[in-house]
Amino acid sequence: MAGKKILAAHNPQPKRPLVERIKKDLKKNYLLYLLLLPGIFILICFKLGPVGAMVIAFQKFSAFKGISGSEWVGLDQFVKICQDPYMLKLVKNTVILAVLSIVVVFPFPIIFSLFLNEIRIKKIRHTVQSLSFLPYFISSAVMVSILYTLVSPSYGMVNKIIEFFGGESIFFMAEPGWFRPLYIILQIWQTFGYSTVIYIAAMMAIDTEQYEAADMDGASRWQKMWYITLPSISSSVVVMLIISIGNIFSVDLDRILLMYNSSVYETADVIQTYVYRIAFQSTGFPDYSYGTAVNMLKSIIAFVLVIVANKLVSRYSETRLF
Amino acid sequence: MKRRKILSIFLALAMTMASLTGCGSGSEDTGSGNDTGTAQNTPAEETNVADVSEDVEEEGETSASAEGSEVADGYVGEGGSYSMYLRATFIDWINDLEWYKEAEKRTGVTVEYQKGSDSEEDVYSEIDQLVLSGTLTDCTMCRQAQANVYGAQGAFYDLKPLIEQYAPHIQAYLDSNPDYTSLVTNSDGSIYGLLVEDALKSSFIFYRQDHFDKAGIDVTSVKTIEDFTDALRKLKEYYSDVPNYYPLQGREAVIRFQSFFNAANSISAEASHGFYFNNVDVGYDIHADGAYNMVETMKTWYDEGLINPEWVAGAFSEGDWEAAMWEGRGSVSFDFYTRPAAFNLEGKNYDPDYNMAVMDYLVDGNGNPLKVQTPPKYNQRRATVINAQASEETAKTIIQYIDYFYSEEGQTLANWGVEDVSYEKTADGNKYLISYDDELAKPDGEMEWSFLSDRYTVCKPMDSTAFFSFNADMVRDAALKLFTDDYLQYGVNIIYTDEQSEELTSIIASLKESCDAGIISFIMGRTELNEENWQAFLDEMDAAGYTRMEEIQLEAYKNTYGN
Repeated sequence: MAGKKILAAHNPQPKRPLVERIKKDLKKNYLLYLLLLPGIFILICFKLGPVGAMVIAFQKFSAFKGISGSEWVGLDQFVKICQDPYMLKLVKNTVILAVLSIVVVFPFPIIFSLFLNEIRIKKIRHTVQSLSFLPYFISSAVMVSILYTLVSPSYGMVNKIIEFFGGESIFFMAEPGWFRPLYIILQIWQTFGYSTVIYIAAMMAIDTEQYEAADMDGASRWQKMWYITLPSISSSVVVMLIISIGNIFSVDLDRILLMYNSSVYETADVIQTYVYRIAFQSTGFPDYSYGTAVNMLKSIIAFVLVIVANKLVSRYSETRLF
Repeated sequence: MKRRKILSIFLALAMTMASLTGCGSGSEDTGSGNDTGTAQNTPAEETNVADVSEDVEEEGETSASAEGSEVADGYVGEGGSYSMYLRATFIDWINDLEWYKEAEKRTGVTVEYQKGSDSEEDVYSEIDQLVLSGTLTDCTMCRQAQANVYGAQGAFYDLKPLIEQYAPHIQAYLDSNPDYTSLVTNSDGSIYGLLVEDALKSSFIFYRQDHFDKAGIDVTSVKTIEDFTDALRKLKEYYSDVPNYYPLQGREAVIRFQSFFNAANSISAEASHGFYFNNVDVGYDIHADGAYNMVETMKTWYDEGLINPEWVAGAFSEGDWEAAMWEGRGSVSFDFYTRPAAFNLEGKNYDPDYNMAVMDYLVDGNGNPLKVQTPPKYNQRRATVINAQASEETAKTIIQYIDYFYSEEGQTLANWGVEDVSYEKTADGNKYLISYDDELAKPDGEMEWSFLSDRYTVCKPMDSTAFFSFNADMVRDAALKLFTDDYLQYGVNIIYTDEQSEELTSIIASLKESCDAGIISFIMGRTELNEENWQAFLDEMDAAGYTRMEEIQLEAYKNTYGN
């Protein structure tokens, strides 16, 4: 008899049908599901629902006829994109900016938060952290205005310093070669505080005993950073990296439009500025379908990149996004 | 425990409902016409206005019976109200206009304006959204392309039968202006939008007369582009000690001097040259004989520090330009015709000698005037349309109110105001009794007699004499002298089909930027300016769609006006 009981414990009963299990769970945790309701509504109505509207990429969309009444053109918009000789240049400019964003901008908050974490005096650490977070709340328009003021060839502080040391004034905002560095500098300035908060939060969760043990073993500060802190925040780093890869085609349109002028057009014209000109600045009939098709293509590529990055990361480390 | 459960359920439901707040169109509230019943049948499908009311003849020239107002002889309606979605700036202007309030009083018509964005481009996108959600007001002002596309799909009234029945003054205008009739008539024979008529105006070359005097330059000696360049050189030399002084200053696009080099765009039944689509008054032609000379001269200006390099690079804002002109870091500009007067108003605060004046347009080597570009006579970005959802009674009210501004009385009111209040009749014609400076100095929100901003808001014929007379003396005199056939190359209204518009938009989205950048590169010296490089640039632009663009423009011109 006892043997049968043991046998039963090792041979669990077959799972009940999914619907039945859901019903049971709903009945048991109905209050939790009820609390979930507002979130699900918002997700469906304002996140998932609008995705369906991307169907206009396959139509010749008319706002009056709506999605249901507009003419279906299939893949015409996508063919148009592929046949556009200018698209290659736009993709090149966009990808260069995006890659620079990942290669240069991404490590910056990691390094900054590692050093910030080493500051012993809490007040200073918190003050520096708060100050670094401030630019995140400044609009792109203000940021670009500040940049213009700083690098102006007539009165900009940067050029005054260059001239003071005997150099020649540089026309930063009009040099195609300077557009990308300036864009990246603004990106770092605006976003590194935000990412720093995430990494610092991850560092707070590290068990202090590890540092104490390292101290006992005579580890230097660099060694503790390298062998304890960095590996401990690796999950956060990986998640942030995958998210960054997902945003690879998403440059900051506002910032580019504000920094954009005919002189830097060669390096500054990206997919978004082009779509903006076609879909919204036309004095003819706005081409919403084409704009949507370009964005859809962009999203699909970004999605594939995220999947690939996630797979690669899961192969080489224990962390993955999903 | 039970209370907490009930509270949790209540909160969850409240949050769900709150998240849905704002959903729903509420379209029934949008119509504010005197009859809120909606005509679901669109005019394209069914419009039988003859059944709605009696003949205009029977109605006669009845006037509104608004209390204490003068009778409107030119009004053929019976008053009423309707709603109109418009750019916020326009509404702010309208609300301050004395003559507009008088028009509402005389006709008994009340327009409930709904504010859109400040940016005109954004308003057109918003109109798309309003059309999509079925919440558009009774009437609005949109692009002609929107009017025709949505109109043909049934979103807007066909105004043609409405005009025939209820708007005798508009009908008379259409009859006497076949070009306008042809322009506003869609390919299906309907009229979906009435276009705003614009004054034929251009930019002025204006200069600091006090600077010219000090530098010993006689402005009457500045006739050709070479004289102009010499004048800039003298100014540069005289003000060499002023930091960041560049005699020629400006804002936005620096490629704007094409007319003075015979390199402006043009179009006729024979040929189309240069950027015309979307660029009627600012387009240039890189294949023109004078294009190379233009770039070469501008490069000379750039190399010698005669033109602001930041402006050339496109990194000089309007605020920077104004500051430079006020603070004496510039002496000459080529910009909107009202600007010299505006500079004078503020300039005296910086320099008591400040005196901006208008220069005559330049001439070629043979003494022939070099004609400057104007926008087209009719503004195709401002078409007044009537929502098909508005009742026929409301549509009648709207068209009759517009009609009033096509009557003699309505035009006089909109162009001159009220007799013996804002103007008087003299043997030489009408004269304003009010001062331009006094009226313009009034703060926002205070009623004023202004005849500048009317062109943006009310669809009506244009009286150029009245329009330019209401200006600072200097601007008025210069406008009446220079805005004539001798000096202006008039812009032409062209109707582009959907396909043409789509293809041109696509070509120009990359071509115009490439072309501007190429020219700037030559001027700034990044690309060496020589015949070989210039030819390579032309070939590159042709391959990028320049020639195709000209072909489509010509095709559209022929479609609009015949061969």
